[in-house]
This record gives sequence, structure tokens and C-alpha cells, in this order.
Amino acid sequence: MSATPVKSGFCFALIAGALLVSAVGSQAQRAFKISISLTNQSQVVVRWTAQFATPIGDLFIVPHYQVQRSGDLKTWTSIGAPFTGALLTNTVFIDSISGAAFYRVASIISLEYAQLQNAILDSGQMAGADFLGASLFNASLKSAQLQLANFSGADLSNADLFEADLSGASLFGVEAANATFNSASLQRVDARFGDFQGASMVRTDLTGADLSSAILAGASLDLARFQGSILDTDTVIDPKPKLIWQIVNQGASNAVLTNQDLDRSFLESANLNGAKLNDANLFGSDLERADLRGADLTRADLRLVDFLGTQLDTNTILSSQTMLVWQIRNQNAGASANLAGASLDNVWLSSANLVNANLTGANCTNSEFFQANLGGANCTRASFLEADMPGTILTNANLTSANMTFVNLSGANLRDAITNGCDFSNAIFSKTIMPDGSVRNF
Amino acid sequence: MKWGLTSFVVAAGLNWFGVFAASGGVGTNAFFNFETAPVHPVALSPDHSRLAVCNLPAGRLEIFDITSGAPVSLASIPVGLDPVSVNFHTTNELWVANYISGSISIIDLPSLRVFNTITTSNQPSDIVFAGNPQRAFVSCGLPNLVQVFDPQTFQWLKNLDIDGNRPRAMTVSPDGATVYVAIFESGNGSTIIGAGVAALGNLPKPNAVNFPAAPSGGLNPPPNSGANFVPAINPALSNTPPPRVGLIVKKNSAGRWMDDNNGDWSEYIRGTNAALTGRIPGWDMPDHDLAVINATNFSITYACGLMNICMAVAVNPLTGKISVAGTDALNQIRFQPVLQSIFIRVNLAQVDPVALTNTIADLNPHLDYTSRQVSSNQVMMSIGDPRGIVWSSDGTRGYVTGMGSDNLVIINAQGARAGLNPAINLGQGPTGLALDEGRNRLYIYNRFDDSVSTVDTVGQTVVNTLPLFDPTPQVIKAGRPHLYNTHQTSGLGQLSCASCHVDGRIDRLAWDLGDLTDVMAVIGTNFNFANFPPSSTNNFHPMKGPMMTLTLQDIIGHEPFHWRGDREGIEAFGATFTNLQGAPVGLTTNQMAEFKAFLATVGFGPNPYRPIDNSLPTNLPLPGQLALGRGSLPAGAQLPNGNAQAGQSDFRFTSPGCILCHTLPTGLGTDNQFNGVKWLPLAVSTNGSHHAALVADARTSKFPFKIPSLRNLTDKMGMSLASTNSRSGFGFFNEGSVDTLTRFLQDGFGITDDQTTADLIAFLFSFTGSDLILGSRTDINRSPGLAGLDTPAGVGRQITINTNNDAPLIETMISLASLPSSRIDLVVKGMKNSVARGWFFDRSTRVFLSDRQGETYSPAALRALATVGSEQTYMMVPRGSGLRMAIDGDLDGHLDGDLLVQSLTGASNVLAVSWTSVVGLTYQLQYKSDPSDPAWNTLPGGVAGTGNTVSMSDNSLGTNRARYYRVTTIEP
Repeated sequence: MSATPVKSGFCFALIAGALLVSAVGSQAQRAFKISISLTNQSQVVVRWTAQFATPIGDLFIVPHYQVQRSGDLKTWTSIGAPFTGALLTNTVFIDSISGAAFYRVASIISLEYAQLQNAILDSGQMAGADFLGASLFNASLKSAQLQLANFSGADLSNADLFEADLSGASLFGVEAANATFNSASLQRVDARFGDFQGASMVRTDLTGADLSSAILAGASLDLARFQGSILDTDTVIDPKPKLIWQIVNQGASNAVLTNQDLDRSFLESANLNGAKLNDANLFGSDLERADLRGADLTRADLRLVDFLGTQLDTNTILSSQTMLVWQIRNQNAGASANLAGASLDNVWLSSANLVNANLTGANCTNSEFFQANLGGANCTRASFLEADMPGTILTNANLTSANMTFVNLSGANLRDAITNGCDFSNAIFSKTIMPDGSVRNF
Repeated sequence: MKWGLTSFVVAAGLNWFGVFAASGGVGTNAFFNFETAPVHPVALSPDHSRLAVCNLPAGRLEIFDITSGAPVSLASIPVGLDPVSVNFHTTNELWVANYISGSISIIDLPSLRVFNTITTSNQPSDIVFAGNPQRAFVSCGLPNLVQVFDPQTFQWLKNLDIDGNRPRAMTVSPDGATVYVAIFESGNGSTIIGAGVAALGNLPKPNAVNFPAAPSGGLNPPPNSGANFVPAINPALSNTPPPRVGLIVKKNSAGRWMDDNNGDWSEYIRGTNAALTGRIPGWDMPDHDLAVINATNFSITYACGLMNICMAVAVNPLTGKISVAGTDALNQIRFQPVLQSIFIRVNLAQVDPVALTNTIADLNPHLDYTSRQVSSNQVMMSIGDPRGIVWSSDGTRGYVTGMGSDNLVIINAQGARAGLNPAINLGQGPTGLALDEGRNRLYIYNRFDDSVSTVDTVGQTVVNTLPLFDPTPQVIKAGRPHLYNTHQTSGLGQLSCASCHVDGRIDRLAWDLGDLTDVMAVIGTNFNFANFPPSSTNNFHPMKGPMMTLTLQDIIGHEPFHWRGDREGIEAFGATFTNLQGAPVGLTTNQMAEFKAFLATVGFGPNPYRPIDNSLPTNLPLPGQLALGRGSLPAGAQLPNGNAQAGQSDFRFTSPGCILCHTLPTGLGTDNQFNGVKWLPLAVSTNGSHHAALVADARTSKFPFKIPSLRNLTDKMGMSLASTNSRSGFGFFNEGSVDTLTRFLQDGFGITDDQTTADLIAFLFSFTGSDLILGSRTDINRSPGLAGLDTPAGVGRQITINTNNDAPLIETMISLASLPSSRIDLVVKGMKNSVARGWFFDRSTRVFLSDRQGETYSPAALRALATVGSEQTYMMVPRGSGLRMAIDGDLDGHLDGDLLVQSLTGASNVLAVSWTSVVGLTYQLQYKSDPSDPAWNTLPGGVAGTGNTVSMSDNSLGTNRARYYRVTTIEP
């Protein structure tokens, strides 16, 4: 049975009788295999290799282990006290019992009130860990697995939790001023009374988070996801994210949002049916699957807005350029299309299908083409200045005299592309497949 | 023997009497008031023939012959600044603790001279002798320790760290094997649940009082009586919710941390969720009240849970129990209307010497604390501010003085009142006392009127009150009772302003004195926000929440008052006397003016962290100041030594700069406003109040707060949220919820570097003393600040010499005193030819002026006089007070070494002549009837000089109606 994080903070490995069941996830440091054997009629030997929860080079966190026994797979009894095994060595636990039993071994990280200031715990496997009251000031927890972890009363101020997964964690009363949660998952966290003043929470997933009485004043919440999150009258949050929270969770049907600053908002699936968004600033916002039927977007700033799945109707008022982008994203209007001389600057065309499109002389400056397919497209004299094209397919594309300066081509595929006169000045190449099939990393 | 040249001639007749000079207080410019309190100012010699009394304001030790049952002055011996305790080492040797000087004066009783001075740690408070071999133990208040000396060699042996704030009064077990130390500011087992300090510009941190699962149910402020507020909140406040504040909890006898509504906060104070109040699991505050020192091996144990301010201590010879008298605060109870009249108890704790268990008796058993005012007779029965205790040798009678109640009460072994009278009225401010059982006499030093009362212990009446020479300015004497007097300023007679502002300072506690029956107070235009005009200002809500007691040192001229700055001047406190203290009437306008004038004299003592030249230290050890783990040091590691000069630079220049709010030299906000070009001073109010700036910062939720002074931060140390043995329950910031300066700086201002933190702490430690880099009228970021009333670090420093050998410290003293801008005077007291003498360093001529007219000495010539038996004690004193302290005690222009006839009085053919005298001289009275007669007739007998006024009488007038007199001296 696999090692599975559960709410109690335990990570279980289960074996039944004398059967050997391997833990899965060999890439995860914390996972482990356990074996069981019988030495005689009354002794069971459980073996596993003690692991560590954080990568080599960072602060070592070695879990404690708790062996539990059950006769029915329902009621489990701890055998002895939790203990720490010697790192990466075989741990042997002998139980004296008559009759068949099931065993499981819990991996426990208990760091209540630990002093971990400035610690580096990046990519740590710390799901279910208990950091109650711990000081993690300025600690680095980037990409750490912290699902269901307990940070109640902990000090996370100035800590870096970029891309960390804190789903279901307790952040009750946490001190997290000036912490970084960019791209982190805080889904369903209990963040009541948490202090997130000045925190960087760009693209933070706060879906289902309870932010009652939390302090988010001054926090950077660009593109943060508020779906299902809870605010109350004591939550302190700046007006803009508060408005976004209201739009996302309470709907904004027919709302008057004229001139409203909503840039970099995550408005996925928002109900903006009939909303007055004229002159609003939605720059860089995510409107995937939002309902914009009947909405007035006259002169709204819609640069780099993601319209994937966005609902429009004939009463939706928006510019022709935006309509074109929406059609490319949602109606496959880009493939083999004649877009010669089109204005496609500052638009969001991630994953767009532009195969064999005629983009001759098109202006694609500063647009997003992440994983878009421009295979066979004619991009002669087109400008992609400062466009973002990681993973973009440009095989067989004609880039003659195209402007590719300052373009991010990380992971892009230019195999057999025609690049005569194409200007790649200051372009970023990283794992980029060049026209001759070579891979460029500079 | 030789005849002295000094004499004064007076003429007198039986029909004419004259008073030639009046003794008494001097001007405030010649007297610096630290409001120091005596500790053990009275001692009996082992043979009970001599009484020694610390004359605190005069800086002298008074010696009396008490063999007659009444004190007869033998000598008045100059010692150090603010002598607070005296003890006999032997019948012939006395030790005196000089609180401000940081020294012990060693006195040879037969020759009535100081022959040695020992430098101690800061604030030496009491001296006892104990152990085998015998050792001298000296309690010191900052840092908290007891120093051990060899009384034979006077060598320092070791320091004993006391785990309590301000170890002070001491006593010894009957077998001499144990020393008991009362911890003055011990705390009372109460602490704060608060929000700490948020970073500048940030909102307050989450406060556990707001948590729904907390005992408060998330209501903040929580009700104080079940689900209700009692008394009910004024309906006029219904539209203005009170601010969310901290909550005071107190540990009960079962070890549970309870609020005033029976809410149990133990889980948040010491349990698993202690982190939610910033603490660690197992957090505790032992509340050490009495240190018990084994005088041989120096091991220390503690008795706990006695009271808040442990003032006096003695051992009952009958029971062996240690008696501690003092006051206990009920600060865990909220709101002024609830606390009116009853917020202080005057208690006597009796501690078992083995088990260290205790019983506590209320020294005011006639009070039931249900009535907020009692009859004047009952008020007069009350004792307040108990500062002295002594037991009879059979342990059946104890005598306790009330410094605030001006009385003495007699108790039995159980602590119950046992006197013939409810109380015995004494002089003002009775403190230490000594019992001469063989003569049925009790001697008490009255601090405020500087006198010695003699009580007949049989009749239990005062039989004599002897005034001492008192240089205290009249303005202090007039205003001081309004601070201390418990009978005049409270409803029950047991408390006063000084019950919390102990000795004009603090009690280290927070109080929630909000008044839920009051109304909002409007922020008027008189309030100064300097260059921080708030975007919005909230008026002052009467339910203000817990606030730390503020010191009264140097407050006048630094208005407005309170943490919030909601009182424009001292005059605004009139209602406090009635509404809080329960007095039937408040102070009159004149009394308030007296109070104000008195407070204006109370300043800060010398800074113990600065060198003698008052500069900022560059390598100051910071013991106990620990890292938080945010810099390079791990959490809990000792911070490095601090450079206060670098700290001052950080204070002034690190963006945004502490000085932006905290001006120098006091730390208060400026009383100026910037007009775009320069800072312009605001006009003082009609009552003379200034306008030190307020600030409405995000971290106070934009509520205005006065920018506080930073001069008594070292008085607030001791709390630790990261310890299971916190010394205090309260620390820094308005609620006292910030435990350390490290946390204050790092949480409050985002500092993480350990050395920067240490430098700033070193600077904050060194704050008092002025001589800092001041602000500028044209610098918008460094505004000018209000001046401070403090003294240079060298004030009080002493050295006693008995040879002419090099003494670098004296050279330093002379050098410092020579500077035209010097803030110190240099005085020398000592013996010359067995006569007590004084010298004052005249910086303009760089010579010492003696206490005899026209006599001067170069520094070298003066030192050349120093020999064994003719020791000289050099002492630095505040500038302006040197002349008084050295050579002209009453500043009447007649030097102390010169003769000055004070008075002629006569009746029934007897005429008495009184004059000032000098220890070591013998005086004779001579007369003649005809002024042209060249011969003088010497009256029989003579009188020895005491340092005070002495007199002789002429019983031989007969029918003569006029005679001419002169007083002559005989020098040895």
C-alpha cells in the first residue's frame, strides 16, 4: 500500500501478515519500503529504511516513526513510542504477538516550536508535518510538500514558499508578514487570524482557504485564486483583491465596474454577465470560462488576457482584436488563417493553434505563445519582440526577416524553420531545438 | 591643643532674642532629586549605645547617642549620594549603601570618619553580614544581583545573580547562616495576552483575545462579569466600538492563568497553543519574591507568590518565619469603576524558612473593600506603602511603618493588629526603624520630613521627633505628599499615586483602567502630530485597554501624558484622585500646582552603562540580550557586545531612522511643527504644558499614541516569552507584550542583523544622560527635541584615598570638572587634623576652596593632606550642587567650617547660644560684659562638634542685663 499523507499528519505504509508491500514513489525521499517477516511463532520483524524529508544539502529533517498494529484494519494501536531511525540504514522493529496482525508504519515530522530561522527546506517532503509555534523566519521552503502541515502560531515572516503545496494546512494565527507564497497552493488552508501583511502571493491558489480575520493588507495578490475562499468582516484586505474576491465568489452580474482596476486578476469562471467593464483595466487577467455575455468591455485594457473558454455572446462589446484572439483560442480560428499584418501584440495565445497560419508582417510583440503551435506558419517580417514562446512549436515556420529579439525560446522547437534574416538578438535559448536539429542552451 | 581663630561675637540681653540664620531647604538648582527611597536607613549598634541613621537628602550618616533613651547627636558624617541603608559590621564599624553613588562608605565610629569607600554594582540598596567566615552581602538593583565582599579586606568576592527584578531589602536568619533578599519589583504572577509589536506601517498582529475558541469567545474586549459588562457600557458609546486590546491574566493558586471573568487561559499561556500568545509550551513566571541565600555556599532558592512590591523584610525570632511587608496589585481586574479605591492591598507575608510556604495577612483588616470610602477614623487606621518592619526579640510584637500613611502599626506574630492604638502617627514618610528593647524605644526615620521619631514602646506614643539637617527644597516637601500620602489621597487610606508609580517610577505592571461609563474624548487642536499628520484620527475611547505604568521621572514639560497622550497636562489628573483612588475630594488648584512643581524636580539618575565621562560605550556587554535566530546567531544565543556610538548612528540615519519619531535626547516626540522650511516650537499652553508629538501609526490601528520616552527601558527588562522562567509578566510597548528589546527592534523595525541589533540596544541602554547628537531646526527628518532632566554618568562616583599616591580616577574627576561646560561638580570630604572638612573644586581657578573662608588648596596640595586617619573622599555631583555638598550645606553664604551662630534664646536668667558645628572640633562659649574689656571669660565646659547645630547655655547671668558672647574652637 502506498505511503499516503492523511490529515492526522501521518504517512502510512501498510503491510498485512507476512506479505511484503512496497512503498511507492521512489523519487520522494520520505517514502520508504517496509518488509515483514516472522522469526518464530511469536515474533514479527518489521524492517524499513529510515529516510529524510529534505534533500541533501538542505537542513536534514529525519522523520520519527511509529509502528502501529491492527487486527481488523480499522482499529490501530501504536506499539511503543515514536523513534528515529538511523538515516538510510535498515530499521528493525520486533513485535511479539500471537496470531495474525496488520502493521503499518507512520512517518512523523514533529517540529513544534522548532527554531528553524533561515533554514533551507526546499522541495522537502513534509506533508502532515507539525510546525506549531515554530520559527521559520526567512526560511526557504520553495516547492516543499506541506499538505496538511500545521503552521498554527508559527513564524513564517520573510519565508519563501514559492510553489510550495500547503493544501489543507493549518495557518491559524500564523505570522507570515512579508513571506512569499508565489504560485503556492494554499487550497483549503485554515488561515484564520493569519498575518500576511506585505506577503507576496502572486498566483497563489487560495481556493477554499478560510481567511477569516486574517490580515492581508499590503499583500501582493495578483492572479491569486479566491474561489471558495472565506473572508469575514474582520479580514483586512486591500480594496482591489477584496473586489476580485467578491466578483469570483459572489458574482458580478450586471455590476458596474467601469474604470475599475482589475489588472492581473484571476477571474476564472466569474460571472460577469452584463457587467459594465468599459474602461476597466483587466491587463494580464485570467478570464477563462468567465461569463462575459452581454458585458461591455469598451476601451477596457484586455492586454494579455486569457480568454480560453470565456463565454461571449452577440451583446458582448469588445474590440475586433480581442474578438480575434478569442476566436483563435476558442474556435480554432488560427490554423491556416490569413493573419497577415494582424495586430496580435500583447495578447494571450498560449497553446493556440496557428499551424500554417499566414502571419506575414503581423505584430506579435510582447504576446504570450507558451506551447502554441506555429508549425509551418509564415512569419516573414513578423515581429515577436519580447514575446514569450517557451515550448512553442515553430517547426518548418518561415521566420525570414522576422524580429525575434528578446524572445524567450526556452524549450521551443525550430526544427527546419527558415530563419534567413531573422533577428534573434538577446533571445533566450534554453533546450531550444534549432533548425538544424541541434539543441541550444545559451 | 590650640585655640581656633574662628569665632563670632554676638550681643544679647535678657530682653532681646535674635535668630541669626534659618536652616532648611535650598534652591532646586542646588539639589537634584532622584526620589530615592530608603531601604534600611536605621541601625542600632550591637551594644545598643549608638543609633545610625541615613540622612538621605543630605548625603550623610547621622550618629546618635541613645543611652539616655533619646537620640543625642554625636556626628553627621558625609557619605555618598542618596544613602539608603546602614548596618553595623562591628560596634566600631559601619557600612553605608549609597544608592546613586554606587558605593559603600565604611565608617570608623570612634573617629567618626569615612576611611574607605567600596565601589559596587549599580544601585546598592542594602547590606547585611552573614556566614562563616563572615561575608558582607550587598543587594544591587541593576543588574539584579547580590554582591559578596570580604568585610575584613573589603575585597569583592563574587556576584550572586538574583532571578528577580531589583533585589533590595535584606535580613539574616537568627543563626547568621542565611540571607533573605526581598525582591522589590517582583511582579504578582500576572501577565499580558497581547499583540506584541507589528512592523512599522503594519497593522497589529493577531491577538489571541480575538480567537473564537479562546475563553473570551473572540469578544474583545471580553465582558468582565459573565456575559455582561459591569458596570454597563455607557449607551453613548454604542456607536463607537472599543479598540481591540490585550488582556491581563494572573496565575491562581492552582497554577491556572485566569482572567477577571474566570476565563482560563492556561492553554494559551503555557499549553500546546502557547504559540498563539507568542509563548512556548510550559511558559511560566515563577514570581520570585524572596531570595534565600545560603551564606556559606551561596546557593539560592526562592519563595514565590507573596506580593507585587516586596518592600521590607525581617525575621520573626519566635517563629523563625521571614516577614515580608509590601503591596499587592489587583491589576488583573479591569476598569476604573471596578478598581476604585481597592486596587492595592497592603500585605504581610510570613514565609516558612524551610518549606518556603507562606501565609499572607492584610495589614488593613478593618477594610472589607466593598465600600469605596470609609470614615476618616478608619482611613487613619490604614497603613500604606509599608517600608519598614522590625520584630521584638520574643517575636510577639512587630512594628511596621507606613511611608504613605505617616504612621506605625503594631502587629502580633500572626500579623494581626495588636497595638494599643489603631496606629501611631509619625512624621512624614516613616521608613526604616530600629528597636531598642532595653530602653523601650523604637527609632524611625521619616524620609519626607527628614527626621527621627522616637516611640515609647510601652506607652506606644511618640516621645520625640528630631529633625535632621535637610537640604530638600521646599517645593519638594510641599508637593511630595500628593504623590505618596495614602490618607489624603484615597478613599480607604491604603493607596496613593505612588502605589503604582512606586517611588515616582513604575510597578512593572500593566493596568486596564478603562472607564466604560465614560464618553469619548475628542482630540483637540492642542495635540501635535508634528510631521505625521494622520490620515484619520480616532478620538480617545474610554475603554483603552491595558497600559503599562509609566514613570513619573522628568514628565513635567514633556506633556501630554499617558501612553495615548490623552491628558494635556498634570492638571487633567484631578479626577484620578477621586475616580480611581477614591478620595472624597481631589486636589485643589494650589495643591495640584504643588504636585506639579514637585514632579518637575524628579529626574533620572546617572546612567550605569556609560563611562565616567558620559560618553557612549563602544563595547558594552549585553548579558541576557539574546538573538532571535534571524541573523547569523542561532536563536537564544547571546548577542555580541554593542557599540552604542554605532547604535546612535543607526538610530539617526538608518532609514527611516528612529529619530524620525524619537527625538534626542529623551526619545519623546518633538514639540515643534515643520513649516516647510524649519521646525518651529509650539507655544506652551496656559498651564505651561508642552506638546510632545503623537503619532497615529498603522500598528496602533491609527489610534493616536504619544511617542514615548526611551529613558527607562532598562527598568522594563525581565520578560521572556521564550522561557519557562520569565522574570516578568510584562515588557515593552504600551501593553507590555513585547518581551525583549531584540524582539522590539526586529519585529518592530525589520532589523535582522545581530550586530546592528546589539548596537541599538547598547544605545538604548545608554539613553539617559543626554549629551547626544541633537536634532536640527532645519532637518525635517531629525527634529529638535525637548531637553531631559538627567545627570551625567559620573555623578555620585566616589573614591577615598589615604595616601598621596597617584589616583588616576581623581585626575579624571578633576579633568571632567574643569571643563567650562562640565555638568558635574567635584567635592571632597574628609578629615584634616582629625577635623571633618570639605573642599569644593573651583573650575575657574582650578583650585579647591575649603569650608573656611579664604582657604584654598591646589589639587596636589589637597591630596598631600591625605593620610591614614585623614582620608579624603572625592565625589562627583551634579553641577550646581557641589558648593552645597562640599562647603556650604545650607547655602547661606557662611561656610560649614566657619562658625555661625544660629540663635540666642533665653529665659529665667539662662541664655542659650546655638551654632553650626564641625565634627572633630570642641567649642567653648566666652563672654564679657564690657565690649572694651580685652579679656574674655570662658564658661565652664565645652561641646563637641557634630556636624549639626550645637548649643551651650550661660547660667551665670545673675543680675547682669547684658553680655557679649563669642564662640571659640579648640582644634586638636
